[in-house]
Amino acid sequence: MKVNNNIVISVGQAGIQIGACFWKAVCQEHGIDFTTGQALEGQEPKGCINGFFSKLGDQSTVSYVPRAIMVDLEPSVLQELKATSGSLFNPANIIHRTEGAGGNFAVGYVGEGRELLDEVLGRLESEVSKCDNVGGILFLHSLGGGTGSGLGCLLIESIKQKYPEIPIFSAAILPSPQVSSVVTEPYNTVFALDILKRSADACIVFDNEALVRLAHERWNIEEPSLDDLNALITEVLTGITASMRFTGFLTVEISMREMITNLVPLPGLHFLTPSFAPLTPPEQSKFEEIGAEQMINALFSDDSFFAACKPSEGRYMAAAVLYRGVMDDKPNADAALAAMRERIPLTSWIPTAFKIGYVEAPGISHRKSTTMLANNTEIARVLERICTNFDKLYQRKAFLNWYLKEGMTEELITAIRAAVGDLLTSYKRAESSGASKARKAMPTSAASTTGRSDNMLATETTPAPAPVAAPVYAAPAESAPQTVDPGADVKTISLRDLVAKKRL
Amino acid sequence: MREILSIHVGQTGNQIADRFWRLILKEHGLKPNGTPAGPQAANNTHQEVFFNRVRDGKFVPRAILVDLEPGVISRIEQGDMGELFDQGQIVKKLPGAANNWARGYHVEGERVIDQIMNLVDDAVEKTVSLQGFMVTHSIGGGSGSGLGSLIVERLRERFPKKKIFTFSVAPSALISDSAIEPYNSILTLAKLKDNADISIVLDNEALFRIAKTKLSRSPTYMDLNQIVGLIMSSVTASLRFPGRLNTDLGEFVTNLVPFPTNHFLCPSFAPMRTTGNEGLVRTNFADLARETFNPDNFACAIDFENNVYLAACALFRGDVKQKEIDENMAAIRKSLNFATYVPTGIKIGVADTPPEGYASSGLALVNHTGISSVFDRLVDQFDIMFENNAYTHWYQNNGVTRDQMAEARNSVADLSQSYKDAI
Repeated sequence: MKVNNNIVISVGQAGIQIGACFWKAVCQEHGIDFTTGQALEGQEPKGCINGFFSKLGDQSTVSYVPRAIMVDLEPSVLQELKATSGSLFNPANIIHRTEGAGGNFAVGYVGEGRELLDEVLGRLESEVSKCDNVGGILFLHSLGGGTGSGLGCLLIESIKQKYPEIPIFSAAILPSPQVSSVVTEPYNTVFALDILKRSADACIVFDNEALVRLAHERWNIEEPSLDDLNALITEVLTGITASMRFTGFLTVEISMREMITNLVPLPGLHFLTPSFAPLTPPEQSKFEEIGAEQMINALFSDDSFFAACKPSEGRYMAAAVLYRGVMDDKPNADAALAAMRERIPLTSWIPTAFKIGYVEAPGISHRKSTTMLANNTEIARVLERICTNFDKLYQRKAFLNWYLKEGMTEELITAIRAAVGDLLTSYKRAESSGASKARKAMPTSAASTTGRSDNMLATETTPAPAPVAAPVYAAPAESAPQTVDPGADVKTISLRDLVAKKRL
Repeated sequence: MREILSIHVGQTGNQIADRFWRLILKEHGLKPNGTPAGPQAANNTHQEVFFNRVRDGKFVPRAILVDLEPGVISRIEQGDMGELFDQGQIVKKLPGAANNWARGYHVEGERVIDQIMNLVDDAVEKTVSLQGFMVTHSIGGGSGSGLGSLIVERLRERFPKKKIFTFSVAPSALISDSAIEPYNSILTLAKLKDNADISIVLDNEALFRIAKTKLSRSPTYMDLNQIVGLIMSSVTASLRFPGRLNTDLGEFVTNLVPFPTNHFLCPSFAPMRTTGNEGLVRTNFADLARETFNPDNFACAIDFENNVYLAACALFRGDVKQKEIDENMAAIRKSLNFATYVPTGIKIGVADTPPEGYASSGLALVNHTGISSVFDRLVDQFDIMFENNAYTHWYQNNGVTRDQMAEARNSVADLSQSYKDAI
């Protein structure tokens, strides 16, 4: 039995589709029928059901209800889900409106979304009351659209306020021009990143650009569909949650709290890059099995990451490596990991850097697999890509009227952009400080201690002594230096105030 | 009637418990459910050291199993030893400490410590003359380190005269189990330094290295825990079985701890062979003694090169003759690099009953200044992270201030220095 119960909240189209895929895989791993929520004929469900399900009824009538809440601003995706999932989900936890967000963050966050807020919080309260102890809340959403980013962030913010003790994980899909369906993606994403930085405890970044490449190159799919991408994401999500769902003599539960304790060295630097090995196509995995050392090598290779960046060129601040499946040779895998640690770039200020987990129960598609969540400074490259697109649109004020119409102001948008710029700077600083070998040459730790606040590494501290070697992630030259100072004043008008004003 | 109460804390602590109690049951001729395996099984041993005899001839271990994350304990309960432990000995229903010493010590720990101390009181009441406590835990995780520290601290408060032995699994230099190990370890070591009588330091990497070179197959974590189990069983063997040279916990402390805080010991077990079905593992005594004191055989990565022995103790079990001991140990003593001001020899204990599967075995417990390298490594890692504020917010949010962390760090650094001064 697990003590930690986890709740999954899917928001928006992408979130719900991934949610469906995730719950299907989880049901399969536990031996639960996806359409009825009952254990498969004549079998006891496997593993620790109470991690993600609540158990209702007894003996012959027992059914397992996912601790899931699904929210959307338009009904079509949810109706489809209801049609395919039978009586698995609690209908009361499937919440929707009819209008949709129209790909606009502001509609989800300020407008339409607000009307759903109380209902969702009410459902969450009822889920929380069914738990002995909430281990964490996992959000599945995309940041490109309107619902996932706007409503998703509204929920994250409100839940964090209501339950400050519960860790919130956001599994966020970042948009990519290749899979793009909305032009205003850069706006939505940047707005969402600002809130994720402040209110989420960790954000697992799934970069659509990388997902397409993985599906194409590693799974050999000519034209990857959204289902294929969702299947890839599910591999990682099941890997991460495996230790919360199974027990074993060597299995240690790595709760969400434990994950963030290990992966977030400084508040705010919590954007994690996932990677998975082996990335053999699922239908082929039966015929191929790779050794521990090979698997570790594959896990750390740049093309196994679910974000379009090169972690080998950045710095690993921390990484959680989770083994899964029958692994008698785990000590050997540890040795391989130790050898790997010598080769990958670590920051000099976190000498240990690794969290290692192990789950005996294998996944569906692979007998042995490893999942990694890395806190790598290269994630800034991905975020920067989005910021660049944001700046292109914002320079011409393109599409801005949609947001202004919902009550956002240019001041506010500039401030948000600056805050996300600060995040990039923090990562960059972490990267450059990691490079310096001499400990004495660290950025003044005294300054950062005194200036302890939400973004302690950002604006307050003196700039890193290391000269800006290559302005790779620097926010656009003209905006960065100027916005930082007035930023402090502008920031006083937060999105939250904005909403309050609008209410009045 | 020299009872010992074992307390197993955290995942590592309980995995060790699983191996340890299996060995102990076999040595005392008990079945996994605690009933005697044969009519003469109960002869010639002092089961009461580790077991509490209840009605219908069942023996219940004097042990308390504590974990903030119930996985391992649940597995023990569901396994063949399921009937061995009493439900009243187990504390497990709690969310984990999330690898965070501060949560184990403050947040979660405070919620269970009273319950645990009540169980300890109950267990102590059942003893006639308690010798002391053995605590197994790891110092790098959250539950074992944080809650383990709290338990040791409370035990010291409540039982100031009883001996507290800890078997502490230290992080290995090679690979970390968690990124914030240095913080957890330093905070724990500072508490152990103040509150434990003897801390036996083990590290997974050294255990793995031993297992890899000595076993004919690739080692699993079970093998590593098996070695720890053998060490624990040997430390207490002479209390449990009649022998010519008895040693109790108090005697260990007197012999092995020259200065009060320098009580961190390193163990070694010999012979390291796989025990199969083909019969007993036999070793002649000269080889056994040599292997026992072979630097490669120590279960902790300490620096033997530039350091000296402060004290050493050897315990032999099974088929060992006094004459052989006298002949060989003098030579061994000469070959070891003792501190110049320690003129005495190696403290020796002998018990007649060998561990299951061995004809004879040897155990060394040494107080060696080389252990300071373990502390130095952790202090270095701690400093680097601490200066950059990495991860410190997790501790501050859970009730450990920066000053307290710095204090613990200085305490461990002093400890390391005191070992260097002892050379």
